This record gives sequence, structure tokens and C-alpha cells, in this order.
Amino acid sequence: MTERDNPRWIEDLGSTDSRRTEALSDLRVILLRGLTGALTNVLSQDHQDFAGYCEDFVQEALIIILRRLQDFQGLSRFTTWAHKITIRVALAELRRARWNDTPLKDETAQGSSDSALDSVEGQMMLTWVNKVMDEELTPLQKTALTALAVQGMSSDAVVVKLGTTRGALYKLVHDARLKLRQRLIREGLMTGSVDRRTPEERKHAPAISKVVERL
Amino acid sequence: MNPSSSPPGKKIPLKDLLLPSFGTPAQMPDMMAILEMTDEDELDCDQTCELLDQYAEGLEHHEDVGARFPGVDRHLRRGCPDCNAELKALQSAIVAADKIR
Repeated sequence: MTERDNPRWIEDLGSTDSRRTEALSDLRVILLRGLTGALTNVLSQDHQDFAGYCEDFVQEALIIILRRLQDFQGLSRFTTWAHKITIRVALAELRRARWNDTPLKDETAQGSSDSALDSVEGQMMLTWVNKVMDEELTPLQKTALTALAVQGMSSDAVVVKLGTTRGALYKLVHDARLKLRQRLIREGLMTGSVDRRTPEERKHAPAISKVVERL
Repeated sequence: MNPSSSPPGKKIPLKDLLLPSFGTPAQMPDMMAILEMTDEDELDCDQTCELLDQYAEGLEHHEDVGARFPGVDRHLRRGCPDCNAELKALQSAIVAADKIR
């Protein structure tokens, strides 16, 4: 395998002679090895079709990489950038497969997988959350937020079910979060400052107890 | 390019290859914590993904990624499951691919 720096990758992949063929072949090997390692805890590697699916994802990624060669700015290693594209392709497809048969839910009360919400306290929380979401959010915002935050559905799956894009979905849910945040501030359940502490710096206080004690 | 090793249409459905843990959050995100961290200006997932290669290499080199990429860092710390999963997969891919060099 030929060692290449970033300019060499771009030059070889952009050429029209045997350098392009060799570079594509080398990149395929690198991406396949990387993707196989990345999907270790995702797909059953013992099955005979595992390699075939990885090959499919890499082939699709190579097409995208060739199409986007001019987008590479050299701010990371070319192979890292290429791995990122490959993983995006693979995980997006896997997430759609995972959630394809799962319908969207409208109510949070029956959608949570958190056993902590099975308590009386938890049910109070869910009732309050549903009430606030009904009052503050549009039906679409409530559906999207429920899918992402309660059902744990991937945004790659939600965009397909809602017929939208990742960017539009993020904006929809971001607006929803801002509305909920403003409601919590109005009710004195939250301060107005944005918490930018690291997870280690945050004081661990159970979210349910903090809200319920003030309801 | 080499064709897929399996004939088209003959592979088992992708969802049947998925391990049970895939796509199931180990812990549901703390909604209150997310709301406390919600900011007016946030990077969305596409913007975060755009910088993920640089962020991953920053972690690799033990750089202060929070200072270099504050928007990405906050997006990840808000617990976006998809972007955190892609970062983790990217880091695994880099390590796995380096073994063939």
C-alpha cells in the first residue's frame, strides 16, 4: 500500500490514470478495515452477510468522497475525513433499519423506557411534561421531541418518518427546547443562565425530584 | 471498484444483523439537564458532523477540544446520541485502520 499525505490523496484520486485506480483500491482497504472495527458492537460479525454490508457502505462512501473531493480542506488527515463520511453512510442506514418498523408516538406517558418513571413521582412528572408540551409546543414539535427524547429514536429515522431533513428537524426540536426552557424559567423551575459546565462539574441532582418538589 | 461480495437482494435484512443494543440508549437523556444546557445559538447535527474529524483528531492529540471547538463540544455534552455514537465509531475506525499500516 502506498503511503500518502493529504495532497497526494487528493492528487491521486483526482487523476485520470492508474494512480486513481490504485488510490481508490488503497482507500477502500483502509475504510473497510476502519468500518469493520467501528461496527464491532453494532452488527453481528459472525454472519456471512456482515462483510457484504460493510462493502456496500464503503462503496457508497467512496462515491460520495470522490464527489466531495474539493470540499476537503486539509484540516484533518484525509483518511479521518473519509472515515467520517463512511461512518455517516453506515450509521444512517443502520438507524433507518433499526427504527423503520417503530411508529411515532404522540404521548410521552406510554413511551418512556426509563424505569424510574414508573413511580408515582415519575407519573406526576410525565403528566406535567405532557401538559406543558401540549400548551407550549406545536403538535409536530411534540411528536418530534417525543420520538427523540422519550422513544430514543435516531434523528436519521425521524427525518424519514416526518419527511424532513436533519437540519430542519434540529431547528424544530431546538425551538421546542427553547420554548420549554422559557416555560421552566417562568415557573421558577430553572434559572435564566445556560449551564455550560462539564458533566464532571455538574452537581448530580435527580431531575424528577427537582421538578416534582416544586410542582 | 470491487462489487459487493454478495449477490444483490440475497442478503438478510440489515435489521436482522443489528445487535440488540444498537439504537437503544443505555440511559435516556436527562431532559431537564438538556433544557438547562439549551442555548440560543447551537450547532445542529450536520454542522457538528462537519467538524467531527477535526474534533476526533484533537482528542487523539489530547488537545483542549472544548476551547478549539466549543459548539461541537457543547452539542456532544448535551448528549446528542447520534453524534456521540458517530464520534465513538470514528475513533474506533481510526484505531482499526491504523493497524494495517
